[in-house]
Amino acid sequence: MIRPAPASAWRAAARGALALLLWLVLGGTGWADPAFPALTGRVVDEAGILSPTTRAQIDALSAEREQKTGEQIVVATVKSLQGYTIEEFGVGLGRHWGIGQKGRDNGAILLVAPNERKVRIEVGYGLEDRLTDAQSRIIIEEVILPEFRRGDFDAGVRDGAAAMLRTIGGEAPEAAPSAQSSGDEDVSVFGYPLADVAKVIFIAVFGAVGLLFLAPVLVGILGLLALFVAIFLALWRWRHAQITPGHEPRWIRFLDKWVAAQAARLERWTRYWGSSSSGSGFTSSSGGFSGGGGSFGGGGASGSW
Amino acid sequence: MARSSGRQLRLGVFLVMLILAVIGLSSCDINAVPRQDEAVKAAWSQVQNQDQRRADLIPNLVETVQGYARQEERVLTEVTAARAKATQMQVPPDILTSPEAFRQYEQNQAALTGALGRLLAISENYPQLKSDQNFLALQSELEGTENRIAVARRDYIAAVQAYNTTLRTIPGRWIAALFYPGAKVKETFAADAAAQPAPRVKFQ
Repeated sequence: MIRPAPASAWRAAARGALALLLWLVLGGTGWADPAFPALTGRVVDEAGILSPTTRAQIDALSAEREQKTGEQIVVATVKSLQGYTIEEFGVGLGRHWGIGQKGRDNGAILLVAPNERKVRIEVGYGLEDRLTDAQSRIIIEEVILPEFRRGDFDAGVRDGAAAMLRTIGGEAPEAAPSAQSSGDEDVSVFGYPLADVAKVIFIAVFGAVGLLFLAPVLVGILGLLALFVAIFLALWRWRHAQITPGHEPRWIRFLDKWVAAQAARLERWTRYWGSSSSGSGFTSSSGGFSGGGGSFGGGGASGSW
Repeated sequence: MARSSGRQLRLGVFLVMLILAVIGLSSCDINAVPRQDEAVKAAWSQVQNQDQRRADLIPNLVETVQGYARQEERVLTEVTAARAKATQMQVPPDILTSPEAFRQYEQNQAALTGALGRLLAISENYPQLKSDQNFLALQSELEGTENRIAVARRDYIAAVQAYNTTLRTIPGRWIAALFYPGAKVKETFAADAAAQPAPRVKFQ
């Protein structure tokens, strides 16, 4: 008779294997980037130079524009450029946050580094013809810097962001795709949380599609693996029905998160290949702001004071 | 209880085997070579686009500077000549795997960068030129383009690095030898060429 290994050993082994897998799947991309601040909203005031009023004003203006045209305009102030030039930092930040919609790249960032006394307007590929380098320079030289030189960051940033929005102006023809609908929280199917059921179905479909085309083999395999884990989770839930949701062991919650992450990844990949499945909603957007996956190529202008 | 943990054990073994299978399969990704090859090509065409964009700005810039600083003939002809040399170069289709052609391209662009830097430096001596709106606009487009070139080159270097690493390291090397015998290591920019400072201009 086989003596079952102690549960703790299993847990450790499982965690190790998963960590290894995640590292293999996620690891090794891109060159060394600075440590960027988290994208916590349309105004990320890491340097702490803006008043709440200014932040709210800019947030409202930018949110209104995004609703109308899908363009994302973000203000970021940073404590330090970490030894990078503001041009390098700006393009890295824009790509890291993915400001602007994927494919349209219609994002722009007003980046302020007060400690280095540098400011930059970073423009996504898709806005380069409406917010040109020359126009960016004029905004910096004539709107932002005079206020900064007087020490008024609030006015400089507020008027600068407003000027960017005005310049980009001219309503883009198509309406923005609607935001993701909010996820249904506690609906259940035969006792399983709906989110789980949806996850299993979604992964099964995309895992099968991925295997069928075998495009990158990885997607199929990853899809299948995630499917097995999801099934395992469902079985586990079924066997341990007495455990109230939220009180599962840590490794179960970890697997939950992992499956959700893989599902999101698969959705991204499949969407990237053009089978545009728009916003299937279990990535539960919590009303927060996030980048749409836009990219940047170094357009814009910089200034210093 | 014992049965349940036995089942868990079997499930666990199954999972670990699956994970090993994924690791095995993902590390010999058959499509890595062509996929990264395409990424390199895309990054390279972006580099060429941006270099072309810079070349397109120059005639206007030269004309504007001439309006205020006709006597700076030497610098102006130098820029025009460097632009001509850069744009007239016949770029062979195999430039990315031909070290001579690639160095030639890089040198032509570097010569143009140098000539442009000198042109912008002399413009500092002409206050009227410096306040000409047209000149200021061209100058900021030029600075922006230099920055775009730097970004495009950095992306290109990263793409080539990934591609060359695939070709030179073990599973990729075997796969390439088996399936893609034509794949060759690609040329890339010297690191300092990408980090070349764009012409600096201070607005005061």
